[in-house]
Amino acid sequence: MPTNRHVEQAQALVYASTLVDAAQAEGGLDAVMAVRAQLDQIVSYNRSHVELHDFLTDVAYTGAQRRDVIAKVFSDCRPELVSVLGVMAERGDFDKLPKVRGLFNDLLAEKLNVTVVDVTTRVSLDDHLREVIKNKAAADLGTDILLNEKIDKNMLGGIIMNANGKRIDASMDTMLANARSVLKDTDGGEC
Amino acid sequence: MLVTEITAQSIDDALRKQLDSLDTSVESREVGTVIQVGDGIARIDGLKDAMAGELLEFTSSNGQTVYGMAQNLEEDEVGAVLLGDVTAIKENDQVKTTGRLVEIPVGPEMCGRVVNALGMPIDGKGPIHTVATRPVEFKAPGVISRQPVHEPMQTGILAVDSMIPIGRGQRELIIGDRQTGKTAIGIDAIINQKNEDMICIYVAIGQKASTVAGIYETLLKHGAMDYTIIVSATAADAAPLQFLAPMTGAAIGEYFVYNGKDGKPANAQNPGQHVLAIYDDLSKQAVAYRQMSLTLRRPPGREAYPGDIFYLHSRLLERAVKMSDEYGAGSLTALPIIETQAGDVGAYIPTNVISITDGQIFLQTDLFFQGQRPAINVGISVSRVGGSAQTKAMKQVAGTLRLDLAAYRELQAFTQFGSDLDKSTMQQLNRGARMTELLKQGRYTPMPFWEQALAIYTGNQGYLDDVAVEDVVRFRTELLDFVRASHKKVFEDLRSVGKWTDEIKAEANEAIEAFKKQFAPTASAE
Repeated sequence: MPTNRHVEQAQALVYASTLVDAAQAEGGLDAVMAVRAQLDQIVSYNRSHVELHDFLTDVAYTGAQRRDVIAKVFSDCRPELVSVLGVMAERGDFDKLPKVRGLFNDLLAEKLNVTVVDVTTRVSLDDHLREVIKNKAAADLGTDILLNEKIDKNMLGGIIMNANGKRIDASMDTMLANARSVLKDTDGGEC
Repeated sequence: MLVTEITAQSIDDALRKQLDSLDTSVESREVGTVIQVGDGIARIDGLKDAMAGELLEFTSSNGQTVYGMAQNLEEDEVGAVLLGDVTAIKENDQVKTTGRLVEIPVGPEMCGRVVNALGMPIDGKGPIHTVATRPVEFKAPGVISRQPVHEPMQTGILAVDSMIPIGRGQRELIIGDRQTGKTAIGIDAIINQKNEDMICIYVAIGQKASTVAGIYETLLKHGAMDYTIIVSATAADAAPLQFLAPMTGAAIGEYFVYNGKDGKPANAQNPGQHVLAIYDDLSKQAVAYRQMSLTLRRPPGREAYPGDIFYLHSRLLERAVKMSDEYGAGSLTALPIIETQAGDVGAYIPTNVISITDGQIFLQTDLFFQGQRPAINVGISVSRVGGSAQTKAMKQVAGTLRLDLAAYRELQAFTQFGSDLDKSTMQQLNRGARMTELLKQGRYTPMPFWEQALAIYTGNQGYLDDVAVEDVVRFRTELLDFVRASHKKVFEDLRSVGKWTDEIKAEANEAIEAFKKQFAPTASAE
C-alpha cells in the first residue's frame, strides 16, 4: 500500500485520464459530460452512504466482490465509468474517488480545452443568454465553454454559475437575503 | 436606534439610510462541500484558495447560516472549526469563502458590556452599535514601534505593588492551584483602575456561567464596569470559542491601544489608550485548543497538546505592548492566569507561559490556608521588567523588602526548633513576622501607592516591632484612616512629590507617633 502522496496522486491521475479518454472515445463530449455528472453524483452518494463506502474500502472482502457490488449499485451509469470504478474498488483505491473527480475536471481543460460552467436557473436559458454567458466565461477563463444547465424550481429567479470551484451567485434568493441582512443590521433596522 | 417619536421625517430618514447601504453587486466566491462533520469540526472538499484563519460561511439544508474558521489547509480538503450551531450542519452542505479573516466588532461602545468570543453581546442589553472591526489574529507590533515598560500599572495590592511591581505593557503571569485567589488578584487590579484612564478587559475562558455572572456583579458593584469589557466563553461554549476568546479580548484591547480617544489612529499628537487584559485562564484555552487539534487530526505532542501550543500562547502574549511615543504611547498590559495541578509549575503549559511572560505571581495553597491572603509566595514570584516602572516612593521603602522577607523565611526555618536566639536574630524574626502580616489585604480593598508606601515605611522604621502580630493589620488600617483624616499632607506630598524626602519622613514620623499613642491593642494581644 503506497503511502507516498505523489504515488497516490499519480494513481488517481491514471484513473482520471483513463476515464476522460474512454468517455471521449465512446461518445465524444456528450459522454464526457455525462460521466462528469454521474461522477459528481457518485461522490456525493458515497459520502452519505457510509456502509457502501466501508464495504468498498474494506480489504476483508475480495477485490472481485467489491467490483461486483460496484457493477450492481451503479448499473445505470455509463459503462466506462462503471469499469473504472470497478478497477478502483478491486485494487483498494476507492478512497481516491474525490481526488479522481477533481483531476477529471482539471483534465477536461487540459486535454479537451473545455471548462464546464454549471448554470442553475429557474427557467431554461434562451439562446441569446446562453451565448452571452459562453462569451463572457470564455473571455475570463481562456478555454472553450460548455454549459451544464440545471433547472431549479425552488429558485425565485436570477442565475447561479459555477466554474472551477468558484461560484457567481446572482440569484434573487441571495440578493434578497443580502438585502434583508443589510436592512436588519443598518442603524434603524429594528425600528 | 431607538426612535422615541415616530415622524414621517424619521421614517423617511431611516428608509433612505437603509436603502443607501444596499449593495446589489454580485460577488464571486469559492464554494466547497462538507464531507464530514462532528465534534465541532467540518472537513470540506474544495476551497482550494481558502486562507488560514479565513471566515467560512456554511449554509445548512434548511437555509441556516453558520460561520466557521479555516484551520487545516490540506492537499485535498480544508479542516474548519464551526463557530455556531454545530448541529445545523450536515454532510453535503455548501461552504463559501468570505475573503475575510475572522474579525470582531470593537470600540468604546463595548465598555460595560459582556460579549461572547465573537464580540456579540450576551448580557441582554441589546445590540452594541460599534463602527469598527478588528481581526482576532493580529501580528504583534515590532521592535521599532515599542518602547521599554516604564509606567506603573498599580494593582492596589500591597504585596504586588511593593515587591512584584507591574508596568504598563508588561505580561505578568498569575499562577497557582485552584482556589488560591488568582482571579481575585485580577479583579482587584481592575477595581483599582477606577479614575486611572485604563480600559480593562476580563476574558473568562471555560468558566461556569454563574462565576462570570458573579464577577460581573462584583465589578458592577464597585463601579468598575464603566471601563471594563467582559469576554466570556463559558464551559458550555464550543472549544473553538474558548480557543478564540483570549484573542478576541486582545483584539478589543488593541483597538484602544492603536487608536486615540477620537477613534483615529494614535500618534504623537493623538495618544493611544491604556488597556489591562486579564486572560482567565490560559490552561483552559490550551485544553480547548488541544481538543480542537485532536479532532482536526493534528499530531499530538507532549501531554497530547499540538506542536504549536507554545506559539498559540506566545503570539497572544506578544500582543501586550508599550507603544513608542511616535505611535501614541498606548499600552496593553496582559495578566494571563494559569491553573496548576498540586503546585506543579513544571508541567507543560505552566513552563511554557512562565518562559513567555515577564514574571509571575505565584500563589500557594498552604499560604492561603495559613491566612496569608493574597497567598503570594514572594520567594519565587518575580517581575522582570516592572522594577523600572515602580514609583520612587515605593522603591525607596520596598527596595529590599523581598530579600528581607526571604532572609526571614530562611531564618525562621532554621530556628523553628531552637530556643536560644541572640538579640539580633530575635529582632529579625520579629520584624519579618510583622512585615509578613502587614502584606495581608482583604478583597476589593485596593490601596493607592502613597498609602502602600506609608504602610511599608511604618514597618521598616520599626513602629510595628512592639505591636502584637495579630494587631498589625488593624494597626495599618486605623493608621491610614488616621493619616487620611488628620495628617492629609503626608499623602498629598507623597502623591505629588512621588518620593520620600526628609520633610515627608518627618511628617510621617510625627503622624505615626501621634497615632501610636492613641492605638489600643486588643485584649488578647496584650
